[in-house]
Amino acid sequence: MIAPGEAGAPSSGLSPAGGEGSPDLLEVSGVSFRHGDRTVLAELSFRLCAGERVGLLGPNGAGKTTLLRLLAGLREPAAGRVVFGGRPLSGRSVAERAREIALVPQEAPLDRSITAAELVLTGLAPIAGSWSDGGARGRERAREALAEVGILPLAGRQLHTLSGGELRRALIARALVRGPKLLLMDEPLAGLDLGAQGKLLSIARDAARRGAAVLFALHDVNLALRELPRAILLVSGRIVADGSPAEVLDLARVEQAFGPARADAGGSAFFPRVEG
Amino acid sequence: MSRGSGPELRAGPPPLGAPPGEQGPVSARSPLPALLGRFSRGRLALVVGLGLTALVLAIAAATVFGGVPLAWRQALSGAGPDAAILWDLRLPRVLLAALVGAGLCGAGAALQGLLANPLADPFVLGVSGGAAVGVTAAVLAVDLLGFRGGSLPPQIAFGFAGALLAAFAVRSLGSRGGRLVGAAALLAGAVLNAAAGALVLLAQLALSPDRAQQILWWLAGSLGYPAPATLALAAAGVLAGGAGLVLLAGRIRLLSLGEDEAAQLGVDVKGTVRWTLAACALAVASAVAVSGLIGFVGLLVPHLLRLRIGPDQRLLVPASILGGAAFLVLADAAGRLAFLPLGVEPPVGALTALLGGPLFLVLLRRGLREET
Repeated sequence: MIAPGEAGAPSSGLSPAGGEGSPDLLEVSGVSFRHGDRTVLAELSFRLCAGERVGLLGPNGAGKTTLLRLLAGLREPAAGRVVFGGRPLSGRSVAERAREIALVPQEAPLDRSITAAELVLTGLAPIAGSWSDGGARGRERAREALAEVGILPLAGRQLHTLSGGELRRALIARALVRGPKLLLMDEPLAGLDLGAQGKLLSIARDAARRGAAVLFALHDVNLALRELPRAILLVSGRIVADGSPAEVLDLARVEQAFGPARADAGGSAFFPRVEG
Repeated sequence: MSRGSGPELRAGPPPLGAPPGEQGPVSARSPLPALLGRFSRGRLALVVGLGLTALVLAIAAATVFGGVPLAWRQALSGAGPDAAILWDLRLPRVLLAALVGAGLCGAGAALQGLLANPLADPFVLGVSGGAAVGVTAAVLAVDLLGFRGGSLPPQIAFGFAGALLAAFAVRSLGSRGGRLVGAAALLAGAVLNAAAGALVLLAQLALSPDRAQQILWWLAGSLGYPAPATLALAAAGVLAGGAGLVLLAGRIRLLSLGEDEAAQLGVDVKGTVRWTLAACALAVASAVAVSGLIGFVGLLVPHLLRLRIGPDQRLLVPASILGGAAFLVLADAAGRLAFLPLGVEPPVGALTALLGGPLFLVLLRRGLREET
């Protein structure tokens, strides 16, 4: 059984059913972020509903990673506010946020001597507590998550022995294991072959069907065009377009955002990931 | 960062931490506990049980074997010279070694997790050095100002302050943009250590020659024959610090994945770091006040244990506390017996440095190879 964690008890009984009052799971209004005197994000506003899948598109350095970190509560916005499930994100404790929001980061964890299964089990910490071993139910969920992303046979392998794609799948399983309401994925498809990309997109579809909102940061525009019902185009920290991928990605905008050389570099193009 | 790109789905070299039987190709239906993680309540009970057994055996062995064979009937009866050797000398010495080992190794394991760096150790990071400066300051104050009321409480208090300062200094000097950089923290620790050594040497100039001699001997990392009150105070500090570290171990484990990782998994990063450093400083200061600078045990013991039980701090911190206690008891006893023919006792700090120093270099070398 998953015991209520020691890392801060749930402070209100409001959360379980989700914000029934408002249809929007996430409401971002006028959010800005600065790094030193450089503006990374400027007055972003958008909404996400439960069950929605949205691609966050933009060239390297557009601020996609920063936005995801901000939504995960890892950075505080310099201005504006983020409302999640009807309450401001900044009013929630770190532990409370972590129960409902999961991030699949681009970077590998620092300690790569843990196994894939152990990585996935850390995903239960927000709901089970940092001292919990997950219990039988938690282990079963971890097992299911590993199976869902297709790396159950690698469960006992240490992270440094996994390939980039395998590690990414382990990170995705770690995010899925606690059944988050908001799933943030930073370039989840990078390093995956086409089959694995398709598999991952169907996993995201399933998560959305279960009621999670899924926000992907992607640089591969073709994929977004094929698979996602909605896209947000971010250029230099500003939202340039928000709508169906076909609208968002009309050629003029894409050339403006990515430059002509990159717009048609689709498929499994793998741009160097260096954004902040 | 280069990732080892070994054969895709084949099992590579057996993982370091996995006990035999948990590695190699896993069938899809292999039993859950073996497959999913190395931490469980049962495993924790096993590790603690084994650690306690090892500690009790080490204490028994170190008490039985000594410079003079004891007449046990007399010794246990509580009267005569043999009883005095057992109760006033040997047992307090052994218990002191256990406390110091527990404090230093528990702190070492926690710091390694906190900095995500296997080279962290209270001595290497300058936390012990900071404590030594504090303790020396207390000695100066007591000697020069004639402070009355025992010298250990102010030593532990000042030592705690010094250790705390050093720990936070290493943290702020060793981090860039809010993230700890292992190499920078280690360099900062080395500089702090040098500065601490210089301060202690300067301070002893103000003391009488035999007091200064005592300080030098203490600084080399030597276990004496403590009075019961000394033992009790050191025990209180080490146990409080150690208990804090065990409570924090679950969060330290998540922090060892990285600060952003821990934060998105619900860990209050700043609070956890602060409390962990404070608990480490308390345990280390209590150890340093009674035994001086005993280096590299906090590196050696957690490292050896990690090879057996894996990197999970929830197993590693309790195991390091118990294993470190047993290790230092045995190391001190071995040193005492080995130097018996010469009629002297080596400072145990010299022995641990001889054992742990080379290990540090090996780990450093391995780390450098991974980074390039």
